[in-house]
This record gives sequence, C-alpha cells and structure tokens, in this order.
Amino acid sequence: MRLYEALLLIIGFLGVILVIFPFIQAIRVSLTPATTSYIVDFFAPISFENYVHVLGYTLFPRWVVNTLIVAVAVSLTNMFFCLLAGYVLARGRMPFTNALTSLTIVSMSIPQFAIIVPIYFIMANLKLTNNLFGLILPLAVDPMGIFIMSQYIKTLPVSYEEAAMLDGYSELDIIWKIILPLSKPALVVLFATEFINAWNNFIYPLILINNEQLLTVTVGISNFRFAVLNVNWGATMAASLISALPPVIFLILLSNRLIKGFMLGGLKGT
Amino acid sequence: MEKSKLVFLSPFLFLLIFSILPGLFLFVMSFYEWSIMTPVPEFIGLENYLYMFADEKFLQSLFNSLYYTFFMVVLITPLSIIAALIFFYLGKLRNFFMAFFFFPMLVSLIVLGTVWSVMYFPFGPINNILNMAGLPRINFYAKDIVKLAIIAVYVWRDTGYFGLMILGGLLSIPPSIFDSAKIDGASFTQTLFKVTLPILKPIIFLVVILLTVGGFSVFSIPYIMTYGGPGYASMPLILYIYFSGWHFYKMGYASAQASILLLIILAIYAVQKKYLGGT
Repeated sequence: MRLYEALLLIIGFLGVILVIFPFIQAIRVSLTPATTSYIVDFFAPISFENYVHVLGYTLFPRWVVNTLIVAVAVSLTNMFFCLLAGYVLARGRMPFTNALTSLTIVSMSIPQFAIIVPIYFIMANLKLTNNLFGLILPLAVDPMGIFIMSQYIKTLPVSYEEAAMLDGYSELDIIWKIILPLSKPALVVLFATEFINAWNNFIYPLILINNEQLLTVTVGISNFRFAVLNVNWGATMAASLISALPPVIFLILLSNRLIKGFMLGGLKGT
Repeated sequence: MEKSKLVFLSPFLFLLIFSILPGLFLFVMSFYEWSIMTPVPEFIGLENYLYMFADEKFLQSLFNSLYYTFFMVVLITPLSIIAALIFFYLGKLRNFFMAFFFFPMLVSLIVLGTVWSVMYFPFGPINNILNMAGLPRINFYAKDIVKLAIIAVYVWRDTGYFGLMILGGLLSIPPSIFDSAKIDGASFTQTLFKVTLPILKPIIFLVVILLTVGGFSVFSIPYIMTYGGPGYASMPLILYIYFSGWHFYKMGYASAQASILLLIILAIYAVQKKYLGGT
C-alpha cells in the first residue's frame, strides 16, 4: 500500500519536472547576454540585460499596456453581458428563450480562426482596423461565458426573485440587486478566464493590427522572434516570460476555482 | 418594459454580429474574388473551390492538419487516461500537483512556442542530453520530423488538462462500484477494462472530440516555431488560410478554404451532439 503511494508520488514529481523543465531553460536563456544565440549554457554569466533591453529600449511596455486595456475591457464587457444573457437563459421568462439558447450554442461552435476573413471585412468597413476597440468588440461577449453564467444562475434559488417581483421590482432591478450579489464568485472566475483569453489572443491582433504601436504582447513576441537580422533569443525569452506572468498571478490568487472555470469553459487558444 | 427587453437582447446581438453572421458571410465570400488591394469584390462562382483542389499547397496543408489531428488524438487520449488514473490514486495529494499541470494551459501558445524553440535549439537541452548519451544531435525542424516535434508541444501541454477532465469523470463514479468489484475478486486490470473505462466512455469520447477540433485548430505553435516550414512541411490549414488572405491577397480564396474548415468543425460537433446529446 505505502509502496505504490510512494511510486505515484515519484511519478507525479517527475511530471511536474517535465512541465517546468522547458520554462527553466527559457529563464536561463533570458538571463544570458544576447551574444550566445542557439545555445543554452547553464554556466554562462547571469545578466539582466535582456529584461532591461525589452522593458527599456523596445515597444514591449507599450504592447503590455495595449494588451492590458483590451483584456480588462473584454473582461468587464463579458461580466456585464454574460450576467444578463446567463439570467435570460437560466430563467427562461423572455419570449424566444429556446432560440436564444440555440444561438448561443451555435456561436460556441464557430471558432475564431474560421471567421478571420469576415471579421477583417467587418472591421475594415467600420474603420476599426489598427484600433484597440476593434480587438475588444469581437471578444466582448463570449458565448461560453454566457453558458457558464446560465449554469451558475440555475443553481440559485428562484424564491428571492419571486418575492421581489411581487414587490414590483423590474427584471433589471432583480439582476442588479439579487442576482449580481449572489453571482460574485462566478463573476470573479469569469473575469479571470476572459482576461487570460484576451491576453493570450493571437489571431485577431495578427489580422487586425499592423501599426507597431498598437500591437499586443503575443504578436509583439512573434515580431521579436522574426526579427529581420539576428533573432535575439534572450530578449524573446524575457518578453515571453513577462507575458506568462498574468496567468501565474491569477492561478495563485484563484487556484482551484480558476481550474474549475477553465474545465467548464473549454480551450480557447489554438 | 420594452426598453429593458432590448437590454436583455444586446448580448445575443453581439453573438449574431461577430459570430453567426460572419459564419454565414464566409460562404458568400468564398464565391468572390476580393483582396485588400481590390476593394470591390468580383463574383467568380465556384472558381475558388476548383482552384483549391488543384492547389498542392492547400492539399499539403489539409494533409498536415489531418496528421496533427490523428496523432494528437492517438497520443493524448491514452496519456490523459493514465494521467487521470495517477491523479485519482494520489487522492488528496493531487491538489498539490494540479496547479502545475494546469499552468501551461493558461499560457499563450505563442509563449509556449518560443519556450519550446529553446528546447529544440541545436545546442539546447534535448540535443545536449543526446550528445552526452553519445547520440547524434537532431535537427527537430527537418522535413520528416517537424510535425512530430510540433505535436510533442501539444502533447506536453494538453495531457494534464484532459487528465483533469477525465479525473472529473472518475471522481463521479460511486466508490461502491469499485468496492463490489473488489469483493468479486477482480484484479486491477480487470476493474480498469471491465468497469472503469466503460463507465468513462462518454467523457473519453468527449476528449476525442475536443482533441479532433484541437488538431484542426493547430496554428500558433507552427506559426512561431517554423512559420509552416521547411517548405510547407508543417503548414497547418489555418496558417495557409492566413497566408492566402494576408500574404497572397486572395481573401475570396481564403474564405473558400475557411468554409471547408468550418464545415469540418461543425461536422465534428454534430457527431458529438448525436452521440452525447446537449452541449
């Protein structure tokens, strides 16, 4: 009994090492001065010059700010709209609720990468290419967020709402005064998942932005990677590792709640 | 009252404008020739589709996407079942490991791609280990193995995630079922193949569906690691769609390819709905 438990623990630790090993290599490269391309040398002198370069002498800080603006905006719009729509689907008091449910399910099965041409066409006509607003709009309402909020609201008791209706509350009052306070735990997880999805989004900034000033971190990193002359791997790694920080922060803050949210919501990145 | 109804409909309006209508519009655009250079679209009927099936680069990209899908399903499904069993028998100790296995899932694939570029350096860790063991260094971006090198990154990333998903199924099995199997004298393997896996069938089927969609969604890792190369050896369908529209300025042609891709994805979800029902 004890033996097999010890064995499982060892396998578990080996798995953890396998997961973090590539990141350790990347950290080492990011701390190696830029001259040693295509070599990972653990005995090279440690220097922070790549971080200084990326944060002080490139557009990277600008890209971080752009991405933060988009990610926070997308998280907030999703909290608002998914709460509303989740309530509509969960309670079914609106006419055509079934049609709205089908609409949500169908949009869940249309992936972003399949509709890049029409999205570009729409944004070009709205004059929203090369505009951060154009990155926010297509991500503003995530059908998966609606689905998750409606699943959550279904677990809340209806009796408060019925009492409030008898007191003459409107549906919007009910959402604002009853559903919103009760939904706080779900909304916090929704904020985190949508923030991470928007932060990691690559394909929309790739097709909608070609002004270097307005790029987001993912496309920015690919610009480092595809530098015309020599690739500065140290700088690429420094930028990559900095942009892996928000997920780490959310994972530390929310841990298992965030994992559960993502298990429900499914994968976004391609 | 009427005004508030409109507020309630607004989120669905977003879905309509940025998801459903683009999905339909895509098919319309696939019958046109249109580029960033020539802003007025020209109707050309089925020409994009006819061109597609004579275009070797498209066929190569389609083949590559099928290759990614096949190997992701075949490798990640059994590995994640094994991971789930390990999580299951670890009991409460699993909570310590979960965050680690989940972490790569939360990081952008672009970042994972740059991180794995380091792993595959000619003088990177994997080649250094091979060298120490007296084996020759490998060029991971060589034509014959580049796709497998890319698949390895997805295996590394997804096994923990799908392991946790299957763990959810394992934990929902009432313990009394395992107890009665034990009383009947069933061995570990007998219990696994005769009891556990049959109960998990629906969730394993769901994992296969999600991995199939995931295989056709492969894009970021080849973009950042190989840019589809060498030649078109690692080019996935989505990357070729992007190149067709944004590098070769053939938006209509890109739409025709994307229509095929969208039909494939919708067909996969239809299969899921038929066998599992619901979402």
